[in-house]
Amino acid sequence: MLAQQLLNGLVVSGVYALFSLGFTLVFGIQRILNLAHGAIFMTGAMVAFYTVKGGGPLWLGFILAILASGALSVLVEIVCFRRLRKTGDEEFGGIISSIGAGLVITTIAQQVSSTQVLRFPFETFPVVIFKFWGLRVSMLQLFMAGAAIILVLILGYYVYRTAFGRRIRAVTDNEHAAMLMGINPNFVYSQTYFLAGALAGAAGVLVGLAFNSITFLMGEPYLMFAFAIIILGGLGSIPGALLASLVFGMVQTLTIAYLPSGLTDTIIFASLFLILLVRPHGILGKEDAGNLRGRR
Amino acid sequence: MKHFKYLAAASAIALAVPALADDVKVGVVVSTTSTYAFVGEPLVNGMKLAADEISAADNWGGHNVEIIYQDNRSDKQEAIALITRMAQSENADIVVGPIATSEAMATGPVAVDLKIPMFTTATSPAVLEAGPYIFKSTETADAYMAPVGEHIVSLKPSNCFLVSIRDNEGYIRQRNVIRDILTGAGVEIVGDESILAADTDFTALSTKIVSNEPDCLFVTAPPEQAANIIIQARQAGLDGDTILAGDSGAGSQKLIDAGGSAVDGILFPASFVASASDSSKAFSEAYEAEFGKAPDLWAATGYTMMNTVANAIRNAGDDVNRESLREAMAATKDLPVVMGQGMLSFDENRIPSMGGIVMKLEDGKWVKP
Repeated sequence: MLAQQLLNGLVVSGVYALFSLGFTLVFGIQRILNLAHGAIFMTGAMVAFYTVKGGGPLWLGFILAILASGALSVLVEIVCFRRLRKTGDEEFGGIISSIGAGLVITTIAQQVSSTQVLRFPFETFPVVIFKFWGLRVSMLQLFMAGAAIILVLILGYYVYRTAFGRRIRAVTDNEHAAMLMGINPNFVYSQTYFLAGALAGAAGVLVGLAFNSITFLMGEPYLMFAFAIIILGGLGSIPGALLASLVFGMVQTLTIAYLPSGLTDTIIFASLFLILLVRPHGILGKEDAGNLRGRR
Repeated sequence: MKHFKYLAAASAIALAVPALADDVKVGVVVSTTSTYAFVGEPLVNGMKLAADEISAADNWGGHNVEIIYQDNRSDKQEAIALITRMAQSENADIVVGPIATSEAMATGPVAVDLKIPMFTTATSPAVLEAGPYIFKSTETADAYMAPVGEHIVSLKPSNCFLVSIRDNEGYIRQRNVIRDILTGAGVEIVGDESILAADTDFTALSTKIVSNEPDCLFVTAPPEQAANIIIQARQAGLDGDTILAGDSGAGSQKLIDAGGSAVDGILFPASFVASASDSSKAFSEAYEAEFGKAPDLWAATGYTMMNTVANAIRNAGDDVNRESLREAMAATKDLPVVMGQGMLSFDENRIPSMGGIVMKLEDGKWVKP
């Protein structure tokens, strides 16, 4: 059972990674906790669901979900954060306005879905089970793991290997200096939010497919885990978020597998505190993470 | 002065008219959206059908009955607010609802405080402890789950795996009844896991279920979630011969819609079987004609609840008020209904008895096993 559970944990970790990478990316560059991220994740699942329901193929739903979630995320940045950033009060103000944005999005989704639990029609994703070495892997699990790895690699390439990535990192290090170098920070922010939203939207579709359940509140539990993941990984650290997603997915799966259920969340958060005792800034966090002042 | 007297008398009559007229208000506070929508939607349909039939037959005992429907969206706080509104602003004489044990536990003390009878579908008898104004439409878990437990035992499994919701007392109670019956009959419990009502990822749990190779899997959860657990367990390799059992929610169309062929064969307690009697057949036909689909357990429950309330209104005498209705509700005895074995009575603790039946889902149809 251990090998099978490790495999399950790996797939869950992939979803957590997609969700929390966008979250940490936004935090890394802007020091803003975008609490509408869960609603954007849910929007991805909803867009894919309604595309498939309307007769469209799943791949189209997946692409539309990524685009719509990315665009929505940019809209949240423009509406909720852009003005606040000019006041220099985006840390606290941003939390409140993103809660508001999240509420607006979930309320619209609640109306659209009539508060019902939605599900992709059976066989939207073919149920094929592969068996090897005593393990069972469904094609969907392989697809989830594959999609997570590919999207993370694309993100890594984008941030660390392209001119856009250099601009992001320049703005992250010092927005004012970056502006003097001719970088338009608003454009960089919009692109970052698009990436973050697109990743969340992709995660939403995968979760909707895998767990047969799409509701307007589906983002909430993931948002809480994403919080813990980015704290554990080190605020704003992309490799840290990846590592923490893996730790979280594994701890969660193994707790369910080997301990009485009901203890899962307790153990996850207790291990978070333990790790923070040893590494107060998270596994790969830097000391100045979270410090906004002095970067302008 | 004389004019003033006439005016005062006229005002007194005008003010007294609403109290003197035979206006009875029934407030319905149930969730037709969110978590318990699977109960609330058919429940309200059943109530409306019953109310229409009673009105058509002029069978409210000569009273004018107004029914106000409100949705508390599966939220305890909203249920409290709506019941308070029914009692204080709408001047309702009785409230039908809310649905879940957790909601009824929260609203019960409010209803007792406001001295308004509350008729809930909650499964746990603990809701009745709030006071004499609380009535429930479902038999206790001990009564309706026992036939399922005994049926599982009769299939002679050597062990069983249990999954239940841990943040709703009603589900815990159902799990306890099954666990006690199984252990009492020597069936080993190889797993007793709990989940949260908001959980959707059961991959780790499914692997755990399958690795225990249980002869029987009992799941007590809302139908969509129960279907999800069973689907994920099947994908993890659950043996096709495993005995599946669930709670009364497994008798909902939502389980079939969400679970498809994966949930086929599931056993569940039924308080309602359409073909059980002439009256249940007639109800089913009328319901299907009205709503275009077959009634489920909750449609029958709504129909039964409205008929129970109507019976109490008829028996409450000329002056129908909260107190006389409470007494008439408590005195309900041998009322012909479309559920269970066909007769509803409340015992001295206001627990109803109708007699339960075990049913099985076979090829998408509900049949007697």
